[in-house]
Amino acid sequence: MTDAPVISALPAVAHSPARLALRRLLRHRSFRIGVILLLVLILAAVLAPWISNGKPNATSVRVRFTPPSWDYPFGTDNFGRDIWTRVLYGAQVSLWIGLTVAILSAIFGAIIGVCAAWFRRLDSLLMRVMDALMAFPAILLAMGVSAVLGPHISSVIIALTSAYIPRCARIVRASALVIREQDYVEAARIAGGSDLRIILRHILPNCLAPLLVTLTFIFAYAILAEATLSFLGIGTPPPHASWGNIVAQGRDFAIEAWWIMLFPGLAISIAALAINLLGDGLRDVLDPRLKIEG
Amino acid sequence: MTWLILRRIAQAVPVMLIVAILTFLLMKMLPGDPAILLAGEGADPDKIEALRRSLGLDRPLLVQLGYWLLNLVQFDFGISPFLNQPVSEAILERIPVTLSVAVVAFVMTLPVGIAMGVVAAYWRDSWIDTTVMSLALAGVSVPNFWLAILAVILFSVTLGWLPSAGYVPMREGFFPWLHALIMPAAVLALFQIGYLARMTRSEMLEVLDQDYVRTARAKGVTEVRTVSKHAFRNALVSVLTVSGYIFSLLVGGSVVIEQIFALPGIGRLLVQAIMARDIVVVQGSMLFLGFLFVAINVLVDILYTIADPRVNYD
Amino acid sequence: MSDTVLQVRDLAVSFRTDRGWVPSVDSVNFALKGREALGIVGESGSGKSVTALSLLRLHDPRNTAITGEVLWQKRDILAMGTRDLQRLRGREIAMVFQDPIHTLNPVLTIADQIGESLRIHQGLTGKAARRRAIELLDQVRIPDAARRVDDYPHRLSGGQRQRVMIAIAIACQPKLLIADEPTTALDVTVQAQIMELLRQLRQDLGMAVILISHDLGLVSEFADRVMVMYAGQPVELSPAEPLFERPLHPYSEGLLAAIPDLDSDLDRLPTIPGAIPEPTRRPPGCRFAPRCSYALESCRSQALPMLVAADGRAARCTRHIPERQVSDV
Repeated sequence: MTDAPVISALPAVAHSPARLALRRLLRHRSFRIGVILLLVLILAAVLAPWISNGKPNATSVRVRFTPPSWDYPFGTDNFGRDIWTRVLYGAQVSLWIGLTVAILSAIFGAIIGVCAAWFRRLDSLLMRVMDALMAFPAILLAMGVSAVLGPHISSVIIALTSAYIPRCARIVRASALVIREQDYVEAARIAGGSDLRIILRHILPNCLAPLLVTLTFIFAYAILAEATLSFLGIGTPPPHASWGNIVAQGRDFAIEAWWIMLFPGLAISIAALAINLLGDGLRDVLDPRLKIEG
Repeated sequence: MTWLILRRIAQAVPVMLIVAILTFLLMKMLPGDPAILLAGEGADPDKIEALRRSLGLDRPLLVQLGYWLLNLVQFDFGISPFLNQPVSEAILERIPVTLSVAVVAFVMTLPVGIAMGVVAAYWRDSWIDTTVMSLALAGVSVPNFWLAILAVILFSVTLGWLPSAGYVPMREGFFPWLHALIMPAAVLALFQIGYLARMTRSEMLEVLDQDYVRTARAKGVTEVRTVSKHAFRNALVSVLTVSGYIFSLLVGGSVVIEQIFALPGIGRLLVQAIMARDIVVVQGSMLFLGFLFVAINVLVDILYTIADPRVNYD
Repeated sequence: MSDTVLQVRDLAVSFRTDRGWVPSVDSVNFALKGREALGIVGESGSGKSVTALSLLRLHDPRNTAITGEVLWQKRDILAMGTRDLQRLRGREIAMVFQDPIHTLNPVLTIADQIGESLRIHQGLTGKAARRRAIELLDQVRIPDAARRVDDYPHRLSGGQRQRVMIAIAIACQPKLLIADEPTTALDVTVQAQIMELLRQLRQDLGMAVILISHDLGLVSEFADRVMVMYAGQPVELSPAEPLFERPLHPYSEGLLAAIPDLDSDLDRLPTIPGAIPEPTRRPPGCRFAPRCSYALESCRSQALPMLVAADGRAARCTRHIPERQVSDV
């Protein structure tokens, strides 16, 4: 009698974790919706020069306050500027700032988080500073930094990045602390691996999943925060078209010329929605336990 | 337990110190000479020099920092040349407005956000879950300044139900006060409601899978009590942790909302000061808010200690 | 022995997974008399816990399908309304679970968790419930019960927590106690104490008990009858003593051979090579055939019902019961 199990007759399916995650992501409903919406927005931003009605700041007194029409799909503002064009160019600014802030926060946050977890003597100081920064809601911290640096796109980026670095640093530190206690890290250390090598080969790759999820949500928050700063007049300065400052401009005419503020506001909402959906998908698949504080 | 609370308060001191130092350094990064800025362009050089001396700007940075911290301990945030008023006084005048907005929004956020999260988790993957979570997602995606404008158009201009701007102090009656705050607070609350609903849902999903929930069912406990007592009490610990954080965000968000509804709170003070480059006020109100947030965190940690019996264990 | 209190007929359980409905347990048939102790034995994956939880419908109803009949004193638990079910749970049938670390609610006091059953089923509140809770803690031999009653579970050791679980279960003097691996998570000395406690309580309270365990040795010392399960089906149902002396199913034989490792946590049996097939990959014939050293060609192709021997013992194997006869146990 042989005792070969019957099971082996069935082919074993082997997949790498990354491919498995990708497959689960592509099956995730909200992830798919988010990706499609975001791609449409990115495409609109990139193609702005070709699908818009000319320059975003071109004024034309004759067509002031034109309601949405075939020629001006989103209408025009008090200077006769085409809102459709401004929203498209605004997409460039908003998406660019959002993505830059998210990536920079992740990079600096990862460096600080790993340093805090790896060099234990730095931990307490670094994390107290992060606590102090975290004490402020992001929007307030960004307002303070932006107030000091003056109204430039770069100061908005610096302001928001400094607000979101602590969130990334905390997430990375928490993961890194767990990983540094793993046997394989201990083994690498005994084998004489340098700190940098161990961090790059073992610690960082294992922090990537939670960091990626965090980064995605920061992308969404940053778009909202940039719009808020610009709305308050301390973000992207006019005449650069940004979704936030178009709404601010349209606010005075919100009743007579509702289209000026309506469409940029919708654009902000859709962008944030798309990225949040994408983030939900990433979180469900990569790191369901993760909690993120915006 | 008392020991734990005292320790937590002690831990907050260095964080507050760092907040103070960071605020100080931030303002030192300001381009240009603050004395000239305060005295106004083209002012008399003697006057600028006098101002510089009176502000202590001629002394080394560390000495300045020392004096500054010393003043802070005495709740002295300096005097604003624009308001012609001590900053601490200006803040104390305005803080009730900001706190009123935040508190009303907070009172709306907690029950609604928690209820949405619990309901969605209990009926997970059903149409109820999808509907509730879509609303929550909309809440965290729609910018509140934009929503505020739409709300004003609908409730003030079109329906005429609520005032579009202005604040009524509580001493003129609770209901007039509430009437003035309800729209700003509701707009402010929507984002946090969405956030809290999403958080509560994921927390509840985890708790509902725990063995002790099955134990409760095996005892014959009704579904309502299983969820509200056995499951929710456990989720409450995390909900409590974020609730302090939510309150901080509501105070922060109030800064924006005050602009739209013309509410004379700290946010309005801060934005006006930024516009006028009144650094004394910017510095003072940032610092005050920073201290407030640290204090809220301490309070939440203490509540957390009381809510979760496991924390006492040592 | 008194009359039959529980009669399980053709119980089958399926779970919904990513890949559709997967059958977990099927063809479970047994009866239990009042005060009787039945042991259900098998490796992990045999379906014994799934069966136990189905008796009180404790699986998540949204992704579980249970068919068949579970007749408790002539009423079908599977067809009961929610209200009736809640009235039954904890009062007539109570349950003790495997891992006492996670089965007690960490944020409620012991008084609260014991008192809850008393309040629901006996209307006891306040002081009366508390007094009864202390009595129950005494009964499960927790020292210093009057003080312990106000503690939170994290203050207690694993063994003590299991005693508290048992106190909760017996609070309303149930007629049937289902104990699902009650000692698996505990260390050996505590294990023996808990089993002794269960034996004592069974006698004092006159309960019927269903004891689920992977440990045939433990079960045989406790139970009057034993049901051995394999890959989602009962494969042998027999009084405890003869099962020990002469197992009818080769799987029971393997389990018996594994008994010396009383304190080992091994889920796999060293005496039987291989492992239980996953529910989606069960062989067409006898499910044990791939691991069976006696398997014949016919075993691999043809599934058997339970066969009843002349002495009333039943097994899903023709090796010792050559005469084919469908069981109606």
